[in-house]
Amino acid sequence: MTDSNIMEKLDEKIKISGLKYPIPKVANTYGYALGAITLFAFTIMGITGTILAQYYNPTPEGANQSVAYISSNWFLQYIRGLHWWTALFIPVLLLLHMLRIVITGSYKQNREITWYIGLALFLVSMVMLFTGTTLKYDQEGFEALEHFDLTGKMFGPLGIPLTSDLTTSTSLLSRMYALHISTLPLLLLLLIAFHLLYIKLHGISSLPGEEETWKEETDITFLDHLKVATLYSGIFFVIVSLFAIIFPREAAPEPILGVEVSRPPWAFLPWYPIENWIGLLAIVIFPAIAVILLALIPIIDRAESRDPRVGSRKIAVAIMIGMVLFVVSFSIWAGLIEPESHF
Amino acid sequence: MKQNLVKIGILSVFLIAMLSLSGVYGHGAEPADTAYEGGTALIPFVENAPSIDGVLDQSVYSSDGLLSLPQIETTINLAHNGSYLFVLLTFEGTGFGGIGFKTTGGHDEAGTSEEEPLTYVIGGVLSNGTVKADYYSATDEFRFPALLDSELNLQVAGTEANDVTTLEFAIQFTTGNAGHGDEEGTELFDLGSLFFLTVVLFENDTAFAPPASLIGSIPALGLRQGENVDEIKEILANEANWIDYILFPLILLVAASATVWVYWPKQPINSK
Repeated sequence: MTDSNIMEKLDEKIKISGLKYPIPKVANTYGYALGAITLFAFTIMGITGTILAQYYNPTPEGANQSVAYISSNWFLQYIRGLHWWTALFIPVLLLLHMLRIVITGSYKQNREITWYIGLALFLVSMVMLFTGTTLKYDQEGFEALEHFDLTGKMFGPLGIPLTSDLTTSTSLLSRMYALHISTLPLLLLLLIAFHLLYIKLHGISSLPGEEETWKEETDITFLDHLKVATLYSGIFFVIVSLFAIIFPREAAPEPILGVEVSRPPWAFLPWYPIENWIGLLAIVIFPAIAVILLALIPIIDRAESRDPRVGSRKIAVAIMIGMVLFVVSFSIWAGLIEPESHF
Repeated sequence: MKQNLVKIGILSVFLIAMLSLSGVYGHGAEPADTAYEGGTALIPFVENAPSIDGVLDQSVYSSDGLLSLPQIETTINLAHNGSYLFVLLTFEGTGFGGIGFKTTGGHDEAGTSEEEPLTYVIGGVLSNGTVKADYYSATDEFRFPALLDSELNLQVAGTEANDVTTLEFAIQFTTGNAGHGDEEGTELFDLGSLFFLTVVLFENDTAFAPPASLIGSIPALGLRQGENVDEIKEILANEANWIDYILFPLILLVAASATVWVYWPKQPINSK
């Protein structure tokens, strides 16, 4: 049996050739690989998280010490670094992914459902990042936990399931851990599955203006796209590895109760100045406004054309660019102001 | 377009109305150092740093079992109103065979290993001035309600209920018959240990207990509050680093600019 025959036999079983369907040429550019890179980032999170879970103790008594143990071993510290830096890069990837989609109007032509599933993915990712920051149980993590607890209590009886008042049988930290490693990943996987399903059903969107012509011009397939996405993912892995090595995650001291002196990780920095302004309410208001604005984009944008320079497309693009600029400017601002207590 | 704007307007009004009705809106605007009402909160006591450090450097031998140990007395000005006040006493040291607390109903004993710090939450005060003593040990499983009835003397003063402004307390250690079983009066106590006394306010109007999630971290609190709080604050405040508020925002800004530049149409297009 020749090599080609073996490959043919193998393909009959695993159907790799089924991935050789044509896609627009533009799909092999970096902006169209952002979703795949993010998917790869989630894979890194899953693998490194599984390793870290073997050493982490999700109790208030043991959490900080177990993180210190992890940080005392060079390999585990590297794994923790990968987990941490990948987590902080995911919001960057998601924002860029959404920005590219808004500019090219890729949520149009019946793809609104993909946009909304993606928005849900964005939300779950941010909640995962938040729950993850509490687990290290250092000063920053503890203050995040307190913020979460207090915010839940602002909603009275409705918020109790989110607070430490729910039960004394276990700690809020342990419940956060349970969310972080079970409920949220399952939700994430489900949403990713539907996101990919609808991308397949609707097809990868072409550039605006090439809706009718891309099939005649393309000579690439989805399999080629996977190769390019793998290359970009490899570059991403090198970057987060360098971060993990150059900026290793050191163990932080145990938290002090009753003081608020730390700043959150960068992805939550934008609402830090707002929290100084309106108090804990910012934790609720800021994400709510962001989600509402992102959800409104396909509703506002009813233009026939996908050209970002025409009609209501301009409003959609302005919302997305405005959001990115807001995140950038408020993150920088948050780093320059003194921490304040919000309790 | 006009219809969409109307929809957005209705959504906005609905959101604001919901937030107003839920009472959320008002809380967020309160001054940062004011406890919001309802539920449980940890109120910082940093303003007057009500922690007292000292050394109980003496070995105490009791032949009759009733020898008094040093008394800690102090008055603390309270910065906040609150429902519960917990006084934390942390011992750290070696040669620590056991502390005995005389109780009204008998005796109890709690000890610690030589190296392990031991923290007790030794009392609490209700905001209306009612003293309620209780006991929690964060480093072991002991939990003896009302253990310190006869030893802990907590007095609060305020102009009216929910306005506790000062706290006077004295902790009188009495050895009682602590130790082992019925060997009353024969136990040797060695308190060559550091102690840290910390006051933490919990606002909690439903249960006289710190939240379960916090009990485990009390040892850390006790020890570190005993250190210089301002110094710790300074160290922690410096933890915000340039990667968070400069590097990542700049990465996002540069990458977003590149994305817009690459995918922004360079010429008129006719798409649908």
